[in-house]
Amino acid sequence: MADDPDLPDVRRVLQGDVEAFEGIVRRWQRPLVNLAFRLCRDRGLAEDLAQEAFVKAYRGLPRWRGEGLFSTWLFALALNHCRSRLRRFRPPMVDIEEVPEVAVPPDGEREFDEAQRAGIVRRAVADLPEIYRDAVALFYLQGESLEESAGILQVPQGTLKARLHRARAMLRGRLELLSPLAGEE
Amino acid sequence: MSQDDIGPLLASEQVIEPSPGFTAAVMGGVRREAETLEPIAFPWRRVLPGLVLSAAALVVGLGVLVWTLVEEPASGPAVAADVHSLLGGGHLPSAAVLAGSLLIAWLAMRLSRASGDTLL
Repeated sequence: MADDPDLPDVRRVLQGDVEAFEGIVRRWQRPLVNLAFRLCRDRGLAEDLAQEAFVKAYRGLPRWRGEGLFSTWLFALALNHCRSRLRRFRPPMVDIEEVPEVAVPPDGEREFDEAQRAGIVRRAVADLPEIYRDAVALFYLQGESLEESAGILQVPQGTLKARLHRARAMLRGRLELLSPLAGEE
Repeated sequence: MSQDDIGPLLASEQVIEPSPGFTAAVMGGVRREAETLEPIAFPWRRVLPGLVLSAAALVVGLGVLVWTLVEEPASGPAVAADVHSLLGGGHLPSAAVLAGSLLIAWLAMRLSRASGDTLL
């Protein structure tokens, strides 16, 4: 793909110029760290996962066949890496009863409600089954287009739409059960 | 909360910035990876024909030996005597099989050596 902005760096790396990989890292570090963060909700772990994904991408670069954008391949690789690592290591879950209540200033109540609601939604996303969590993480949280998300997940766009619809339904059900705050409208 | 409300909530996700040393840490890992020599994988594809031929030679050789002992128990256990009786006693097919198995064994050895030379 000629208009792929990563292609010159990829070619240089494949010709043996290791330092050219830094361009790829600088271009994609923020999206990859954020993708990992949206899957694990742990900043330190997210950076570790993103770092490992970059090294894995460097190692696997000769196997990239140049079909589609390099970033699609990189994201798919990172997503697979995060999946396999998170299957082995799940952060300890905290019982909702053990979470201390936070004092809320009266004037900041609305903002607090919004923030708390968003936090509950994100935690619920992290608990979704893998295929739905990945779809939501890429499309909603990461802000990738439907086409790009489908490319990264290697599924047809129709399948992705169905997964997103199902994920929203599951989230709504879980949130209504989990929190009166998130459920009230 | 309707399904339509969930979309905007999800989209309002905060964006985190990688820590300042992130790029350097990644490039450190990449440089280490580049310096690490690729482990040489065992050449199964090259060795397999040799192994198959060796196994075939062994089976054929054992088959001939057993067949010879069953057919001519009086000739004794000595292999030399068996070969002599095979060649001298009009057992041409057996001799041909034995010669074939020896040829296969020799070919297997040649193939294995050639694979080793190519790798080195």
